Amino acid sequence: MNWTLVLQEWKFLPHAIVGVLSSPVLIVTLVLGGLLGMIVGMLPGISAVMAMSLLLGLVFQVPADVGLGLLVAIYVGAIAAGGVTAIMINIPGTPAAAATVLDGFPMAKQGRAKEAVEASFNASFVGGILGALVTLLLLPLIAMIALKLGDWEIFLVALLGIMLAGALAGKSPLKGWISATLGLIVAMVGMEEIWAYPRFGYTPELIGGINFVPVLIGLFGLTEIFSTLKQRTPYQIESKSGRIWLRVKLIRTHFVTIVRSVFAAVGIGVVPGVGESAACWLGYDLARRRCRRPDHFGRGAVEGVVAAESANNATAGGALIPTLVFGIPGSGPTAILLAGLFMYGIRPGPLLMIEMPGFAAKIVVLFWFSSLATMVVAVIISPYFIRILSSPREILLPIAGALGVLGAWAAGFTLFDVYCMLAFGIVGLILRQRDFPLAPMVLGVLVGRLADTSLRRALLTYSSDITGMLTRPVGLVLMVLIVVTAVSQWRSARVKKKSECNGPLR
Amino acid sequence: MKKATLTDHSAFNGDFLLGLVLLGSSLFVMIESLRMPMRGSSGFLMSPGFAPCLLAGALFCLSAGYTVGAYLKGGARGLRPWLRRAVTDPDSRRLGILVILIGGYVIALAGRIPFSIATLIYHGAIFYYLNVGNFLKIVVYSILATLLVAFVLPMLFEMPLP
Repeated sequence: MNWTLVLQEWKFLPHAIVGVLSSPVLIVTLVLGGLLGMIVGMLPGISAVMAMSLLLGLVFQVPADVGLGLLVAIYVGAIAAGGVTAIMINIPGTPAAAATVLDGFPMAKQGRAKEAVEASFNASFVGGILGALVTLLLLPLIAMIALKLGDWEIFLVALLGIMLAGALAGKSPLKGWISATLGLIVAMVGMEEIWAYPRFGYTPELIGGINFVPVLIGLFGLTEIFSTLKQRTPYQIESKSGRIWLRVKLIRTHFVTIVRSVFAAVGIGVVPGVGESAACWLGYDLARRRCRRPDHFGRGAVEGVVAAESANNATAGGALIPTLVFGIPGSGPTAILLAGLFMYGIRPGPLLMIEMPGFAAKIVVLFWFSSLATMVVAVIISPYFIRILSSPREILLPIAGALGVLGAWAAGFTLFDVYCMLAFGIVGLILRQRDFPLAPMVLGVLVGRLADTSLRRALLTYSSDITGMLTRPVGLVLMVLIVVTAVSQWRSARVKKKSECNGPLR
Repeated sequence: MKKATLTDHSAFNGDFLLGLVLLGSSLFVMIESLRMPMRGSSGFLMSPGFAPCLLAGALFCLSAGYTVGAYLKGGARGLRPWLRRAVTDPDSRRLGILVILIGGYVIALAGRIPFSIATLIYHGAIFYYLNVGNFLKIVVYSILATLLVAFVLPMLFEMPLP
């Protein structure tokens, strides 16, 4: 990997832009993909992976540009729309939108739902565009760092994400970390990958492990349904309905936050499997630390929504690196994208830029136009989805429950997944009653298996000399970051607790 | 927010009970992990039980901190009246009925009778319980929701139904 190749890709950028603009079919495809992505992003349990894999058979029958454009547009649309349900009904549409709940939902409850949705889409748009741009500009540098990532670093990034989520998601880091540890333990159930031993495999279904999607639906969706509907008069979202717009003033005000989140997200998005979920938390944490009024975070701060959403959309760019340069998918959607590339005879790998000059630039341009198409679709349909999602909770949430059942079933087409969703809904309800944040648990389930395998593989590799593992440069930086995060979060929680003069634990 | 005093310990009863459950769970996971077979030359370090045991240890320490904190604030006092209050609370009763409705849909209906009928029954029952409107409204909402969940989406995504 060298800079000459990257300069060559930069030179192809104008050509790729003209290529998209001169193809009406591609433009229509990006708009339709953005719309479909937004719909699946907003439906609890229906994921971008499901929509992309369904259309994989279709994309084979259309030219490569159009097919890949459709997949990229669904991916971008789903990530951007995941924040909408997080804001409007306190149920993140995707795990990456978990941090958006922290400020987005309080904003909606304060009657500022439209403002929150607008901030979310504006941040998603700018974050997506900047993320792809930074990815292209720093491709050799990021690829060099990515090459230095081993199992130990993957484990540490997973740990960092969990530490941040645990500390930030709730009022008490202790409860956040307990929640995250519970999630990690849930991820241990099932056949482990190194010795193929069925851990906690008391039934045949448990040997297969606990699927992540039913856990997500149960903890976020069912818990919200139970907690809200148990009240005789549940809260209602009373927001001014109307169209959202691209607000230059909003982007200008929060530009530094967006740029900070973008760099953090691209950097961490490189780590396969764990980067995407950890990025929103890192972006949120950085914004909170740099803010003059960090106490506003968690109570409806626009900056919190902007930081989380720009980070999770920019990660798509970071996740492109392992997919294109090494052929390693960083997440479910990038795995489908990779399958799409193979179907068109494109071989991702270190030689991609030599064998197919201009291809990386084309993908980046597709990301840009997909972000734009998603924004345009959001502007057009926003009055409708804001109105629909502001419907009385007594009507909306039972339907979300049935959709959750369908989503859990679709995860593996077994009733066991549906039962898991119910069980985790009840567990989530108990934890939420005691003010435990649930997002760290979801993150724990999501990254737990990979973190465990990475840790043990690293220990196996360095079994003769463990200091070799501990002194790897990127690992050292990550370890320092984890210690600093843990100590600072603990201290700030103590200071906050003291100032709240003897309040209850929750 | 209600301020806690030394005599107001009911706020911590739930924390104390949950802490005990967490401690018990962590001990169970730890014992089960230690029973997993040792593999490879590195002994327990490479055993399948290594990571769960490590996590159970972490959960035990964190839960111990949580439980002791609740205990010191009076969480162990007046547990029985607190439990009685929790069971008879109208919100808890409503919650119990919701769990039965959704649990009934998941366990007793889905996969046993056609999914569309199960979904229609669930929506009708839950909308009726939540009192979303008159009979006609309940019927219309139930049919529309069932159409979306049991017909439109499965057709769009070509998925089999439970």
